[in-house]
Amino acid sequence: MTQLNEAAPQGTGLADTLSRSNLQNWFTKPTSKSLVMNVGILIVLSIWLSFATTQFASSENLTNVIRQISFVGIAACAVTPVMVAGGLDLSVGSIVAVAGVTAATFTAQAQWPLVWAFVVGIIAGGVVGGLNACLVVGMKINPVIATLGTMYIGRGLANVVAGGSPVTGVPLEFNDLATSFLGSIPTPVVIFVVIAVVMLVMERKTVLGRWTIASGGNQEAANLSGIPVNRTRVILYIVSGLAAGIAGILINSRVATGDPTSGAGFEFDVIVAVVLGGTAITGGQGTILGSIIGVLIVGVLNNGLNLLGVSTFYQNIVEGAVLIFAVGIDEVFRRTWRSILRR
Amino acid sequence: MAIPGTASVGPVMDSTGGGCLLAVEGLTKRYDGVHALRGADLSVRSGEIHALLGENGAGKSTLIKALAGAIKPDSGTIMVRGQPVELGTRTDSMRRGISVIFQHANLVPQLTVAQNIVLGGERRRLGFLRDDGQRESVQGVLAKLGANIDLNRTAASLRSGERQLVEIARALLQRAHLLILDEPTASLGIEDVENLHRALLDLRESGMGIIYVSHRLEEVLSVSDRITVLRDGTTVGTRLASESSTADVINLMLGRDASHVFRKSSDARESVVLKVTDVATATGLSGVSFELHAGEILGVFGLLGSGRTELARALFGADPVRSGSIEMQGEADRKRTPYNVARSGIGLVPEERSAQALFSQLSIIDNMTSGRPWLYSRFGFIRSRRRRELVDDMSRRVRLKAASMGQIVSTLSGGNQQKVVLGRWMLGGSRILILDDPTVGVDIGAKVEIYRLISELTADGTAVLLLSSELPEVVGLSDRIMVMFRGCVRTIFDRPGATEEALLRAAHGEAA
Repeated sequence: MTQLNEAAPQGTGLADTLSRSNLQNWFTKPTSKSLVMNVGILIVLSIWLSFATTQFASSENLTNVIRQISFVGIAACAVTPVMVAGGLDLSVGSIVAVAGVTAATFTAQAQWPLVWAFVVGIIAGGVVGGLNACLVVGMKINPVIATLGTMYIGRGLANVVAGGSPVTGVPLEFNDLATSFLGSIPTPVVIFVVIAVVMLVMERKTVLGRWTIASGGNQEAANLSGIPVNRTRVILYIVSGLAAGIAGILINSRVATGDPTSGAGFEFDVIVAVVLGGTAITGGQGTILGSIIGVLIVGVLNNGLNLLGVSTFYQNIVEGAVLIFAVGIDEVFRRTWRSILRR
Repeated sequence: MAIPGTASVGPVMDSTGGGCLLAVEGLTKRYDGVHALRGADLSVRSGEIHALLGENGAGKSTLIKALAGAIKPDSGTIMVRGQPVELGTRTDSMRRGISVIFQHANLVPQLTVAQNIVLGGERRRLGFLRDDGQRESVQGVLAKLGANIDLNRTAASLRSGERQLVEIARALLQRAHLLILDEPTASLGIEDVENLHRALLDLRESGMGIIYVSHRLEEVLSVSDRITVLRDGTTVGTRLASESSTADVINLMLGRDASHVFRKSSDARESVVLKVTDVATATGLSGVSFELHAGEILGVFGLLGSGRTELARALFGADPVRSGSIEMQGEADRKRTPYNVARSGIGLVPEERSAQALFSQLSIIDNMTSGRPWLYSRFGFIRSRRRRELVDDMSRRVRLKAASMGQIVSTLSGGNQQKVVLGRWMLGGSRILILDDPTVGVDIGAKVEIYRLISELTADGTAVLLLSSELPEVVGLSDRIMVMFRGCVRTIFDRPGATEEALLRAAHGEAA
């Protein structure tokens, strides 16, 4: 068992971390490969767009792109671990509406202070996440079906509460959260960065992050190692609901009302970004950093198509094609992965 | 049960060595009406390697699962260090110092070696990982096992021998007192097996109790101190390994002289029904050539990954053949797909019954008639009465034990399920039957009946390709035995020249 191993026992110094064998190990991971490839795609796409259009490279446009992607980005950071743990969350789009309508109703009709109304909206998102957890983890319902169900239930509830049209009588300050700046950076972007950092720490530095990969990578092994797989998944679903709730508050703040139709198709944008970012739909594999790059690619692509004057109909076609392409690449990687396993 | 030659379960002996680490008494467990365990006893001391033997379906896995806390036994006691314990969950079992290495890899392929070894026991504070500090102890346990594996490699990149050692390292890190290994050598080469055994002997010296489950009798006898044999869910004996021969153990396992189970005469005829020349596939076969005669049983033996199953799939048209030729007598010149192959009179009983052969929610009728629909249909319409007659006749012929032909197959015992699959290909008659481990998970009684059916079929001229991982079965039934190694045909033995030892050596790639 020693003959194949050239690597000597290692310490934990910085030089070791950067050693060649570690880099080799890093490159054998499929998530690393797709990360490298995606960064390449993002750079090529950006360079091409800055030559093809005059506005793309302007600071206003780039700020605009970053602001636009921050909503999807917030949700993607939390949906990624759900998928890595072997689940799926299709309800995030409806949670956007639930959170927005809840917050707007509490300020407009119950006259709650804005901050508390936002908090209640976010908690409403967490409650839907908890419902997803009950269905998927507790009742063992397939995550596609369970979250498809809560997606419809959530949308319906938002419409019932709002009475089928945007909530009226919302104070003007409701709009401030999404449109204000902290220094020279738009507030939604700051929130996105904070959430991304928190989720990255969770992924890399906590037991929960480790158990997330184990639960999705080999559920049997995770169980037999005494890992609380169910508890891990419950937490991840609730976090996903809370994050989608935050995105929902921001999206509805931007339009200055609680709109029950807001976030339609949002779940699609999130899942395209996450899958494009290298997360396997079968679980066990995927990184939050990868998803953030995925979000950037989708954001830059959409912005570029807008600037090039491509109609939204064509944009739909492009986005759908991107999703299929991303899953196709994932499938190819998984096949090579399996052949490594078999060896 | 008489336990000759050894001390039976008794009070705890002195603490220095030979103390009774684990005592299992009268364990029973039923699954959907099938008795998996009906009174199993086992006692393991500290500092011994104790082999747990028995045929497939004898209850070894169930016993191990009970010790692992993965299932709850219906009755009986488990005592650890003289204290009765309840092992309700995996954590309970781990806390008692019991560590189980299951047959199928229990590593998370995406995590690194170090992360896998500490999995579930990560050092942490307030939920934050502090497992950098564990690297030294991880390095330590790997060194103790004589393994030099880069801690940062992903588990997916490990060879099976390395994977095994990583799992043992995990058990050591958890300070296990009792290590249970389920078929640890099933997929290992000779060198890896020796390494593993050396590591186990070291662990024994340090006072660990080890339960070793394996089908490779000689290997087991050479490494273990005592053996316990299970048959049909009951302990039939505990012996000293040094005082037992392979033949004794087989007799204990089968409960009778092994030679009676198998047939005596050969039905092989002159005519060749299958001629395989230099076949290679993308699934790993290369240069496979052999002939199969009418009425002959050609045994195919090989270890896991030797290409046995791949051969069956290629012959049946389930995987494409890259080069070489497969000629079947009377086969129409059509594309080799499972449909066309089945149509030309060839049947396949695949390795994994529930996943590859049965439609578990459907009835016996539906399952038995799923292979050759043209026997009972006209213009695409099913003729129910004809189908019914066919199934009634066949179920009598295979001696199927079922309430009615409408019974759902998942409620049948393993042996009866296998008879349904066999019946599927006996309907309409098969010129060639490919049987891939046909007696896995089947109790002794049904096994004997399956052997009887095989003999009946060959008497009628059906050629049988018997792929098996059970040596006594291959040796006892086959007219000739082909041994595969890494996708190639290693040798073909005639029956008189085939001893279990010679087969095993060939299967490990040694010169015959």
